[in-house]
Amino acid sequence: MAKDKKLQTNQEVEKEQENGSPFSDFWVPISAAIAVRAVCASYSDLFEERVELTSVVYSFEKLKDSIAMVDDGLNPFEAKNMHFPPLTLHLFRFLLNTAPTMILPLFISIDVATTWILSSAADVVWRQTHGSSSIRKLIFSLYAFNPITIVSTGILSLTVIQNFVSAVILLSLVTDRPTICAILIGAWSSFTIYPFILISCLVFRSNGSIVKFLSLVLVSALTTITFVGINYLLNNQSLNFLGPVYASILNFSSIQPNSGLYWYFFVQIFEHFRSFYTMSFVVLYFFMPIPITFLIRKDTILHFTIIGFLVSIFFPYPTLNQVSLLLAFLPVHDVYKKHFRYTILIAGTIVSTVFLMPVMWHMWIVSSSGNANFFFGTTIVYNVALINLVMDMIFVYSRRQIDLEYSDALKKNTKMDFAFY
Amino acid sequence: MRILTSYLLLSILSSCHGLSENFDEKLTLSPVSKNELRVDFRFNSEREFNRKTESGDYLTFPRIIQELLSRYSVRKLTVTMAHGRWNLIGWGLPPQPSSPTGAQVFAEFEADQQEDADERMKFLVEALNGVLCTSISHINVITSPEFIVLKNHGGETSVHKRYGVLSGETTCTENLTRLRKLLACKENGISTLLHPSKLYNSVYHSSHLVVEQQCDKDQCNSKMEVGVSVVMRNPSQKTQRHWSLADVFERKLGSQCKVARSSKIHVIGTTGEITTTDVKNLTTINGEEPFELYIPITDISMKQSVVKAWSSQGGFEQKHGVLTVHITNDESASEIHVSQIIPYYVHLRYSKINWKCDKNGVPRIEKIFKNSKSLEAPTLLQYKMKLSAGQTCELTIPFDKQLLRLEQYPPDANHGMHIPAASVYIQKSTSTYTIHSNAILVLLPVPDFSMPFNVICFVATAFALVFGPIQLYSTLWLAPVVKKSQWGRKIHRAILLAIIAFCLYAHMMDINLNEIRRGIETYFEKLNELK
Repeated sequence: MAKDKKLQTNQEVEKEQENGSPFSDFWVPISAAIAVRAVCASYSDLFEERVELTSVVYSFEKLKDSIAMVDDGLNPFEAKNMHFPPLTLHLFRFLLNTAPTMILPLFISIDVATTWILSSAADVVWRQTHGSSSIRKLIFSLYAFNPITIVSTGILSLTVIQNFVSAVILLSLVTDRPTICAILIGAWSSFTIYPFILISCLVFRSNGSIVKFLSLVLVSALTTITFVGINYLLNNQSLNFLGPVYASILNFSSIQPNSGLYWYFFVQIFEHFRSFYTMSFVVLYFFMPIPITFLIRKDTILHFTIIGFLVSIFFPYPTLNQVSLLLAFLPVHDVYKKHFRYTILIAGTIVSTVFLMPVMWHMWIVSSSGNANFFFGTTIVYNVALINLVMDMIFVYSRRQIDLEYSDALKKNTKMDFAFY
Repeated sequence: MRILTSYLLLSILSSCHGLSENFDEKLTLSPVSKNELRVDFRFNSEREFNRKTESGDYLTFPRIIQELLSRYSVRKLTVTMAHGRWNLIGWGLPPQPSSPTGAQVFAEFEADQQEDADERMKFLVEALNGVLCTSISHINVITSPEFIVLKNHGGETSVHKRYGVLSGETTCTENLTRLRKLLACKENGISTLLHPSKLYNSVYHSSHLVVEQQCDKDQCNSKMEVGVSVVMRNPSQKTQRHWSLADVFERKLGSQCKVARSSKIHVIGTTGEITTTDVKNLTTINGEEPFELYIPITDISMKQSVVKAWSSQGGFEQKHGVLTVHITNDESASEIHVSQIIPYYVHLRYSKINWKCDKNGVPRIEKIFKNSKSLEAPTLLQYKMKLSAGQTCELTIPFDKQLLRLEQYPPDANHGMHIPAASVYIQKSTSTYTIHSNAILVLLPVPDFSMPFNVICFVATAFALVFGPIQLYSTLWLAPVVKKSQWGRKIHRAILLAIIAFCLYAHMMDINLNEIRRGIETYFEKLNELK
């Protein structure tokens, strides 16, 4: 029944789109997005344990475990594998105790709001470069009808909230509100640390003034400290949450199979090299935005996309949903389109690995006809595809700069080579 | 006679220091069905001494045990080792202290701080490995369980309790040999019947060591009990109306333990009546004329009713699973304490743990959830509840199996790892006892052990794929290729091609490259000489 309904609404969307009335532009896609998510939520038990869509810091089921512990008067941070900051715990504990039925509608509305904010942000960028035409509808459907976002909302993955914050940061970045951006980045970093490198985007919103940039960094850091302080107060003035929440992200300690880059590495690494690799990965990650910021000086939005991808690729406990916001945002970079080298390769790899992940997982864990290498193979290829996408973006930026410099003198297939600066 | 007088002399001497020691041995034989015989050995040793005037003399009490007690300030220690599973329905009440499959250690320490007790437990376990020839170094230790886990370790709160179970540990002949070494009579008396080949060829085998020390100021009292309990199937292959000692143990009782205070053999009959033979009173016993005893083959009519507990496992994959502990009460109401150790390699789904009961529904349950901080320490779940007569309750514990680090896996990783048996302590108006359910073997997800280097290479390569381009694009300038004469490059290529062609030629013509090298070397040498 529900599926039929969904199909109908989809058809309606298509019909209405031809008319182009405000009704079809706005209400039909939104209600379709809501309907699809609601339908998916009723099948959530099929997906809620899926390894690609949940991880220790985003799984709602794990959050419920922690909340159950708080309800029983236990300290969840003494248990193993509890990585939610006290703020998340108490917020969702309050929601679960007062209005448990409202959680799904809340998640759906947050996700649809994310879609709306993202498409508005894309529209602002698009209007700056392309004048009157609009890209809103395309971006909206790319995010709203991406199966991964739909399923993630259905299983109440906390990545939905993360994507929402990410979209708001993007919108305030494109509409030139750096302070809001800094506050949001700071707040978000207090949950998973890694997004802090997004602060490098604000270099381009400081009007070239280093004082302004540093004050923005300070605002962001103060927000993080405030949030940690709130956590400290909520946790009965005990700092024992620092280890499970933050240290576990920085030292990869509770790593389990996920769609990320590191899990198998930290299973297989020899014990005496573990601390070396842990440190070098973390140091390199936080160093990465510096050269990229020097490199991509003339396109804030591309810079944001690249840094955003790096945040999701190198996060120790990622899910597939982390990149869906940025993937949906890619069509905005229309001017670079003709220079992308590996479009079909990357798209094909991402799609096929996403489909292969559950297959390999089944072969490894359920039917035992394969081993861990199978699943590792798909995750590493998926991550390499994302990495190649990011590196391609750096290439297209450089290529575009040459185009701007030489204008018509170059043909599309002119050979490029590196020269000393 | 000479031995006796010397023994008397010694005892007189030692009594001057306030020292007295006793040793008792007992063997109980009870047929539990027509082809199953339960055998219980109990050796009790006792030592009373004054801490100040102690001379360090040991008559019957093993010195090593006394040293363990004093060095680690142990108040009470229980070690059990068992294999097989006690059939609660067929055999009734298990031997107390009841033992789960594998090894179990319960120690109570006198210590000022938790850390002291932790450290003492660590050393004690290592010492036990030496004393009992076990290998339980990686036992999962629980800090001070609050509800009662074992009957003989009651609710005393002033001591630091440490409890650990290792389900994978197997018990075998070495352990028995070491236990025998603790006895006052190793070669005489009832201990001669501790014949491993028969005792281990059985459906159930458990052995335990219980040590206790109580001091009132300087006057101390140490007790030790060594017990071996065995259930044998078809002790005698012959069809006959009774089993003899020779059938059961492949040994005959040919000597007496002279230092023992008492030495008795009990045979339990059909209706529970006990026939006692005092080995000390037998005058004619010696090597040529051994003592023989006959045990009637009966089907016991009087079975004790006991609370039953068993564990089962659900789930079909290597990632998620469910542990279910079933407890069925007998005909009278009882209070039970359930303790379940969850080792570090499975993580609980705390919000999904639940109790289900038939009859009057779920009773009021007090629960305790105890985490241990360190990385490989287990978690303890304890429940206390009152069950009405005949009630069955089920505890469901869903869990996630963890992918461990490579070095955390045992050598046979695909065998799986154990979740220890649940311990159930039962308190009735008439009696108290503990039973254990069975241990569960969980299949953990395993990585491929053969390729750590490949994985490290792949992931490091993926990382390099990020850093290479970033480094390249931020230090070099991307520029269109300008056509100009490239003679240098062409010559370079030609040389490379020539070398490849030569190598191929050499390969095809089976030219030994070493010979060529040698030829070049001699050529260079000649050039040097020319100088």
